[in-house]
Amino acid sequence: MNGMNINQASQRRRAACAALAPVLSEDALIAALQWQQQTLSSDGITAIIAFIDGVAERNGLDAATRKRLYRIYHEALQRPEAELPLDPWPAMQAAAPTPMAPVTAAASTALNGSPAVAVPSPIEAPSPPSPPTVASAPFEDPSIPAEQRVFAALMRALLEGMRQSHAGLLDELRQSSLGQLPRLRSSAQVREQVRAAWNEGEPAPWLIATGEGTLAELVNQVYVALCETLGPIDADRLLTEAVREAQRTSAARSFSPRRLV
Amino acid sequence: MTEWINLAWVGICCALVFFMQAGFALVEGGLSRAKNSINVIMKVYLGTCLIGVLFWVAGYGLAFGRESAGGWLGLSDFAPGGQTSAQAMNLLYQAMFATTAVSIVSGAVAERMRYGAYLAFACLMALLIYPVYAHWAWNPQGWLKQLGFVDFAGDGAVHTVGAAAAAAGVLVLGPRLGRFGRDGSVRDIPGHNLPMVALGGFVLWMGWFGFNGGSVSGIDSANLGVTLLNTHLGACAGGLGALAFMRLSGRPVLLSASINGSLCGLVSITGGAGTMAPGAALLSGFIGGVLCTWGAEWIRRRRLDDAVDAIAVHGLGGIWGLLAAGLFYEGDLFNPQRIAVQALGAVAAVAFAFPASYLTFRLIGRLTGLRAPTLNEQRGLDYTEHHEIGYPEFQEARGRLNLEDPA
Repeated sequence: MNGMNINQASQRRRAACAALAPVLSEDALIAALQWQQQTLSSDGITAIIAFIDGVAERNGLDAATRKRLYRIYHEALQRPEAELPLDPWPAMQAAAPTPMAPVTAAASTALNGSPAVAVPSPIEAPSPPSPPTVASAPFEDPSIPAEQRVFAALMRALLEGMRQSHAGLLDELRQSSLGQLPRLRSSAQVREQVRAAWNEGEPAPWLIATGEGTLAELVNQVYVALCETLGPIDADRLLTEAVREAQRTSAARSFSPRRLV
Repeated sequence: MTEWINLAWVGICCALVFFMQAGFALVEGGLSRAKNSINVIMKVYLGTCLIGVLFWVAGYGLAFGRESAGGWLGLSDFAPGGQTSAQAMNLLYQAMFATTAVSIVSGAVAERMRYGAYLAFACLMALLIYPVYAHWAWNPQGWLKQLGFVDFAGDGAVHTVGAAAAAAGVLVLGPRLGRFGRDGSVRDIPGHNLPMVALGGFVLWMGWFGFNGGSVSGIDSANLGVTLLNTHLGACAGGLGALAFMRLSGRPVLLSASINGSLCGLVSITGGAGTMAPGAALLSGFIGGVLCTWGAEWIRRRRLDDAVDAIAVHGLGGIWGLLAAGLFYEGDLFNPQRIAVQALGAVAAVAFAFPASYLTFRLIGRLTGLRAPTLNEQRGLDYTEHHEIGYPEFQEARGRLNLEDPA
């Protein structure tokens, strides 16, 4: 039951992300998602209209946009998972002043149409695992080659940085990276591992069983995608920070992350 | 005695125009990211070396050879020897102009072009593109010169030709990674060292006194003082034109745009520095400053990634400067026939240099590859092309770290 509720809440977050990301800034989007998490009680038309109206009022969206958002959000709720953006839950957690857990639909209070008086709901569902930090990543197994552990740490740090600074663009980054994957000079098996990691929503392990050359090529593909999504200045900053983060792992003692960049 | 003084003056001007290469290196290096700054400076540096040799071997003969193929191309004076001091000085002075024309291209295509491919282009431009137009415009037998075309110090031959080649390069190469968003937005890629850009701007300004001052017929010429005054006024007015455009259109007053404005003012006065009154020079420079500040944005909106706005500065400034030289020709203002010849010269520069450069870039691309791989753009061309980095205390280069990391 809990699992079903978590899926439902996740679907709502992803649908809201699909509908609202094009019209809201990143901060406003996260605020809207958190507000939805606390207040939206059902997938019914009335609840959707009340939620969108509240977001529109808070962000000064005009009537035409509001009307369009009712339809887009409702349609997004019906769409299969694969067609929706990644679950923005990690970014919401990163942005929240105190750790939150997803709220089940049943437990939320009903929307009363006035966003200003929305009351946070009691928490029922267990929290999904919070994104592991690179330092505590479970990649200490020395039987796994060091370059693969370092690559995993670097990718997780990179995506975590992305979640923190550009959560709304994560899906664009994923699409852009996946678009380049066919050009990777490696086996179909490796490409499939990468595809699975990208599609895994919550922080994936990113342990890709391949050699240093292919891993460096993968980092380059992500860098190109970062440039396309954010521009080269932010791409350079995120990559540099991820390298520094990956350098703190124990695997970096035997394999410098800079060898992958 | 006068002859020796003239010779000494042209010698000083040679040094000043040579010093403009330092100005280009500073401006272009400062406007690129730290990871590509050495690459940009190396293009200017070794470009100067190669062009110096090639222009002596063939470029000078093709441009200034005393035998001409119907006003289209020089056919003599290749690898000249046994010249008089004045002839040798003239060759040296012209070599500096050829180098300047090619250096315009290096900044525009910065941060994504293979080094070898750039040097190949620089050689071909110095051998085949620049000298041809220089022959048309400056050789006494050149067909444009015969029509009365006025290109005092190279608005057509140096700046318009250089900018047309730069535009071709930018078009063939494509933009730097992530320069434009999918929605067409332009993303800023700020240079790593604006004080360096400012210093480069001053160096170029100073060098321009040699660029225009050496083009007068002699130090005893009545024109020298006016030419130098016009040069200075053009630069000042260009900076003010850029300031006026930014201020009146509600934009922030940027250092890089101000410097480009004054450089465009200098370009705008280059064509008619010796044949204009100071008031006209002021107006030419001011319009040039406005044009290039507006033009740089217009070019970016067309999704053309010119890393240093060379096309706006040298292209728009060069074409406007040629027209201004006709419009404001002292004693013969607004003569339609003169203006038509100037316009023809501008059209000829673009119509010849752009397709010729485009084909040259394509040819080099096919033979050796033109665009640096994305991995090199990620790592920076300083390390991938030269195995050196500009700021080892602050930059983390793969090569340097590999030395520390025996694995």
